[in-house]
Amino acid sequence: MVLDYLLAGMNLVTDVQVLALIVLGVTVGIMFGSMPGLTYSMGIILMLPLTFQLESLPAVALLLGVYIGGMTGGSVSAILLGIPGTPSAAATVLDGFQLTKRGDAAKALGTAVFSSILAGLLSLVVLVLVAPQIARIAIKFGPAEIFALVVFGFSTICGVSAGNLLKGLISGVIGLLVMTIGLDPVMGVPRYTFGMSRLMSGVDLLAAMIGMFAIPQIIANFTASDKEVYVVDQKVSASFPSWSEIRRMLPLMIRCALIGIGIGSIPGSGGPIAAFLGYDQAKRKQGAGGADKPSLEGVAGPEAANNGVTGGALIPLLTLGIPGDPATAILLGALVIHGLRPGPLLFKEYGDFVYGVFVAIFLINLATLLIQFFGIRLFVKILGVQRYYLYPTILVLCVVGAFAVNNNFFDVYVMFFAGVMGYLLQKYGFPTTPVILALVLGPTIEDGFRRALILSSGDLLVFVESPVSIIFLSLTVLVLAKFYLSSGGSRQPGARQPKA
Amino acid sequence: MKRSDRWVAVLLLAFSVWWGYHTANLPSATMANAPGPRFFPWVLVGALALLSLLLLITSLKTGADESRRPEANGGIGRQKLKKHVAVFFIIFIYIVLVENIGFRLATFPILLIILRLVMGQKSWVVGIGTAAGITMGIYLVFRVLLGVPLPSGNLW
Repeated sequence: MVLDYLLAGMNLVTDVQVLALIVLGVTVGIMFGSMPGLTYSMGIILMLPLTFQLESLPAVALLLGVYIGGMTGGSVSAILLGIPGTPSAAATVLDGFQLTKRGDAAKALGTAVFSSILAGLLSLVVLVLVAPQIARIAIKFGPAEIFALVVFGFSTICGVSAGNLLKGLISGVIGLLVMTIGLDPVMGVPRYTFGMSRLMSGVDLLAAMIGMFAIPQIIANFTASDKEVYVVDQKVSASFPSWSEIRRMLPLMIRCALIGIGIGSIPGSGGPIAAFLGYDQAKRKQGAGGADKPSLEGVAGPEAANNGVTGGALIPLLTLGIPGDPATAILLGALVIHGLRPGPLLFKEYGDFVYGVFVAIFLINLATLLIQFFGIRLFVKILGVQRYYLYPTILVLCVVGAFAVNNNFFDVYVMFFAGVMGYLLQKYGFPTTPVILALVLGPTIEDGFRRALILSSGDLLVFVESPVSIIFLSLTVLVLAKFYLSSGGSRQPGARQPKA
Repeated sequence: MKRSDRWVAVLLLAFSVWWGYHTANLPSATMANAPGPRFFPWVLVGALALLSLLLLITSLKTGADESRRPEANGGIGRQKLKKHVAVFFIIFIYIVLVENIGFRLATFPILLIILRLVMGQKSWVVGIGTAAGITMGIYLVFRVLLGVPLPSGNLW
């Protein structure tokens, strides 16, 4: 059965078009990942309109290429410039840039790619082994269980991404409020449409995401001073670590990859947190004596951890339909546009698609390895691209992308207002990730809640009848309590939201 | 806690009252023993009001000692803020123009304005070349190569 799916999946993927799209996606991903100020989430969202004319698997292969390529590409500027190209690479800066100053840039770049891909492949193995099992269990979930599960995922998202629990929760509620605009999911009653028929179908998720991610970035960069041009010595090359170095670092890489997979599979955490945990592991291995010396381990650890996240984050996305971070939220939106609803049914009804995705991830990791290793000079050159070319292009892409979602100009205005909202939220220290995920998860929360009550004829005890929902609801309470206590009430000075 | 948090909290409270007013006016189609379309919105309005009240209280409690730092204004100066508002305005004009005169006619002049006035590109040649290049490049890739429809507007 699995073998049949695997063969069917391979057939779907080993097609010239898909392979070309993988190469394109990875290249764009590394570019967006390595440019400071651009994140791979933005890369995925800007590539989205390109996929509307494609079949579902090629489309997902392209977007996953950007995701995995971007996660890996962040290390380039982290090592060479000391600036993380993407927030997930912030931990790589610590030792990576020191190694560059010492003249070991080539080895650091090679180690980063090597451990990233090793971890990416390891996370794929875990994904392939674990996901179908979870799907098999989750398919039995009723509305009450689904409600409890999504509430749990959502609460971790609000808590982790905030640094300030109160503001994270407010962001989440604002997102849920926006989600209630349009026809109500159970009875089809229009809500908050303010007489605009366009609002009947609700706020378009992808248009809102484009605005919320890209517009604040564009505003900041349009008005930035001219100094932000990144020039690197263009004779950079990458070289893999030697066998003895690989043997020395292998246990660390595997441990960090597993940490990344675990962190990635918890909604709301993601790359930046995993990377710092990986860095911590690397330093522990060096011991108290040499911990302050820069080492290849200090690059291998965080890079393995952040790429481990890629496979980990796909586990709840594919099996439960819960995205863990903005990047997977966009992937969810893309799948829905292509008529596929992630969740346990996906495994049952579109098995060949799911296995096709697995095969695609394998190829994407190989492509990332080759493209980043051999194309390093190209990406270094791209770092020097003037912002005059870059940000005006992104602005136009936002308008084109928001329009192309439904060929509907109203969505372009939605994109703009989401941009204003994103700007204001960021300006006043509210994280935007919970808003985005609220838009994605909100309908499921409301739908699960109300359906459960309809089935139980209004008996609220339905939510504490099954062990699964009891577990997830108590976990929700625990997680919120933990965030509240660890943030010292509601303050956590210096805490900033991860942006990827 | 920044001083601005107080005003944000007050605004959020006002917003939840306004949103609550609209929630009360929602149609009340109900099924027996099950929450109707108003139920979930009420939970959210209540949550928002409660959370903003908590934000208000914490920001009042922590005092104004930190408020003199530049971050009190969201971390940016007045000059920059004006510029940000101006860019938002230009983007809005751009969107209105695209809707009315179409992507091809609107994009070039707006990009030229952004490059010259906002980003401070001094050379006309670079400005015109970049604006034209981006407009044509995106048109070619999306419309010609991929067949994705672009907003065409009423004029062209």
